[in-house]
Amino acid sequence: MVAYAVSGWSNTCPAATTSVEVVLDPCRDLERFLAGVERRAYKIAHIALRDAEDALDVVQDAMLQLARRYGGRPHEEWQPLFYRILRNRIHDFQRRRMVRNRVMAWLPGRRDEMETAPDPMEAVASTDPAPMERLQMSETMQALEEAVGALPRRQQQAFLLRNFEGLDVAATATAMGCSQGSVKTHYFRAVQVLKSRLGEFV
Amino acid sequence: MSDFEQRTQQLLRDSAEQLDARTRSRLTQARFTAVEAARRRSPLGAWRGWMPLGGVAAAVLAAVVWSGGWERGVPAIDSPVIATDVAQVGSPFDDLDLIAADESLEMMEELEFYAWLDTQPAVDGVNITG
Repeated sequence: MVAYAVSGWSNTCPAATTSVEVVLDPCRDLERFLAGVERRAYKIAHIALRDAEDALDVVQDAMLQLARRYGGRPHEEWQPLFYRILRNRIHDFQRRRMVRNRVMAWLPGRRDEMETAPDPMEAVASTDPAPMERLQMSETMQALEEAVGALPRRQQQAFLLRNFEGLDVAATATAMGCSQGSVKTHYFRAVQVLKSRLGEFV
Repeated sequence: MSDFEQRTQQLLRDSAEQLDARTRSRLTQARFTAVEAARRRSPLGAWRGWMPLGGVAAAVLAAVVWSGGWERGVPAIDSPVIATDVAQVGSPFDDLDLIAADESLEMMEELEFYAWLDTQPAVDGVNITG
């Protein structure tokens, strides 16, 4: 890799890697970070919003905001900042959806039949020769995701950031915008609820 | 971390790794878009944006210098072109000299007349140019 020495670089894409050399393209660190979190971020958004397109939109927005506003911050700050942005965007989506549903409920004859009608493809027998284990694993995953999705919002955030993403208490508190004590409480309650609901599955 | 927490973590992470190709592709596109946005904001990115224009300007400048465009008006030593022609079609540097000089521009324009006048003998003992 081509590298050259630069000092005093403090912009959107910060200097990185070693103390002696700075990589020619410092945006690579940002790309590497985003590549490392994007799938888990998508899952978190999907569990919270229960819609694949909305989840993708939210993750894309969060990535853009991180890159534009905080790309110049030290790398160790990126993870809590990214999840804080993601949490805010998810919250915005949920609020917007709630308002939209309220408005739609007042309009007569607005029930979309396509939304309620069963997908005919679901009735077709699967040709995938997946073993029984894979099916059970898939069902367990689905049960877990539904149970996490049904948690109160703050408990869900605390559980996903601590357990799924692996953030420590301090970083989770930064991402959630609350105290470390609140994080511990929300996480403890989330685990208790999930245990009671998924005892036989997990 | 308890066994239950470890199992849920593993399940969720497996689930994230098993995303379908379309979702993975969309995520990659989103990542590239974000990184490109960051790159455009960095000074290096800004320079990159101006690089093509700078290259074109440098090429044009090099072409002008190489073709001797600025030297066109300067005659060779043995050229029959007279001094006034040089003044009329001189190089941009000559123009700069004229503008910067303290002498009157009118005198510079009638240089040929003054050169002729200087060769004429004095009348009644008075040197006209003097």
